Amino acid sequence: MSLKKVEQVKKDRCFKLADLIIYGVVILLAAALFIAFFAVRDDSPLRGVRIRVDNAAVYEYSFADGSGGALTEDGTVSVEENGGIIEVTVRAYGGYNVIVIDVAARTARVREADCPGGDCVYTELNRTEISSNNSPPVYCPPHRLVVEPLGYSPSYDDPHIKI
Amino acid sequence: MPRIYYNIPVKRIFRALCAILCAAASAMCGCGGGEESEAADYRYSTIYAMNTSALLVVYDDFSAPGAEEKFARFEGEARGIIAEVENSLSVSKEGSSVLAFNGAEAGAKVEIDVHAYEVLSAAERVYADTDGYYNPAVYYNVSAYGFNGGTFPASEEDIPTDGEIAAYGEIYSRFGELTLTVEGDKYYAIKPSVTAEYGGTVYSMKVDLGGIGKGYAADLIDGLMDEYGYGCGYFSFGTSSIALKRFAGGGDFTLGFTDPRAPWDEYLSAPVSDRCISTSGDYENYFELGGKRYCHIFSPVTGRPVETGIMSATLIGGSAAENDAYTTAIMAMPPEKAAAFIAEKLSSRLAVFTLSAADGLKYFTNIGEGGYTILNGRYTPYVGAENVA
Ligand SMILES: [Zn+2]
Repeated sequence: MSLKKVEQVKKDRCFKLADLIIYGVVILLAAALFIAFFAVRDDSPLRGVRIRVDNAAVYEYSFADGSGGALTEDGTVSVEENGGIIEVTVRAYGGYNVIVIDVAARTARVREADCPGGDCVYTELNRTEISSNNSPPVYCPPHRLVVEPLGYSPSYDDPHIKI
Repeated sequence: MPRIYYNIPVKRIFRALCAILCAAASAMCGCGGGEESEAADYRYSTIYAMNTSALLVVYDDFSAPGAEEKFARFEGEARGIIAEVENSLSVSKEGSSVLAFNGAEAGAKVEIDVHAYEVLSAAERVYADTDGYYNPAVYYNVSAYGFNGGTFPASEEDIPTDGEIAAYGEIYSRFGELTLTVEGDKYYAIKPSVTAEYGGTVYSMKVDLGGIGKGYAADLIDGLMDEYGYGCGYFSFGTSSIALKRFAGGGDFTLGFTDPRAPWDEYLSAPVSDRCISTSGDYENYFELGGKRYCHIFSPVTGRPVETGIMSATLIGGSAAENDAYTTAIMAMPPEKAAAFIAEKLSSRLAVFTLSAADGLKYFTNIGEGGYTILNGRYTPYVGAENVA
């Protein structure tokens, strides 16, 4: 190492404490941002399930206290409960969808529907299931039906788009 | 003993750390912010139309005076346009141009609206450009397999016979004879004069412009975003047609391509902005019988669901309406022909297709190396002349 270089290194070393403080601040800031980011992402167990037709909620269920039920009395929604499985049948736009809510597993999926294509129905290839508060809604466009996590509010602050 | 000084490039490390922090901060917060944040600078709207749900997202500074009102006007206009297109192209809605065309006698001159005129014009262009690999007149074939809201065949015996398919083929093979005219401010389609008889019924030409129509709507919304000066946002019709502007802050979007054999997953991603995109795939609407997949995309060559081995096709750039028709045509082409067609006719667009070959799943793309990322190692590059599975 040349003498000049050694002088330079010595000089840099004089600022070590200040550098360390700045590193510390930078790392703390990064950590704080990460914590804030992951705190916003809600990966806690599914709170509940909401079913909408058009934009109106027709059924809601909360896992916390088992409260909820049909929100209309016009015959759109019929509910059957059987050993921890709630079966909600929704009749809208000339068809029907059967949504099953598994209370113990905290999940909801469309088990059966008569829409063309049946895209909303859960199958091994089409794993449309509401299983967390972040699960995307299950849509049945022909019946204008949406099954979504209770309190779901979609976020579009991610540049990712699926095609 | 001499002391050892380590020559640590302090400033470089510090700069790198700052860069990482800035990147992390912008990646986490974007320009929208979370739902708790006051600076959630986007608005969105879900629109149900043409048997699917469409999504409209705009990134803007919504704290600016008049921004909310502007978005409300924009959303209203967008809904109006989509409703107009649906009302024009629906195969079942009373008063639709397509219903009038489909119901008219062979050879009749039918008044249609501007949307049907534009979409039929695009369909004719792509029909000619693809030598008939795109053909929107396979209507009866699609219906015979139960895809137009009917029931799918429950057994092999329910699959349409060669005689039935041949009768429908007599009709759709004459799509090129469709004539479009403009007289003053009125638009007309003259139906090809062909009829065919099968099972005691006489059939005349019917078209289904649903797919290309969604692309057309995406093109119109793309233009509307320009009119409103919205440079950041997108409009997607289902996942089949998308008009992309830029992401919040002006960056690219990351397009994730659906894995056609695991549709909840993605096999490829690419950064894209300011382009219209359409995709066709055999995973969107299909049934299985005897272990075989029958999808909603029909081959004008066989008159039956495509069996070329091509599972999906995507085109980026140009018009979403044309891209929808081109990707449908690509699905009907043998893979070598599809690759050659893309090189010859679609070199100005980015193209990707996937193939189920005897030795595994393949992908083909004309996107340059570095312009995309393969996310799933089971997809290997298509090099041509593979045996189709
Ligand atoms: Zn459905």
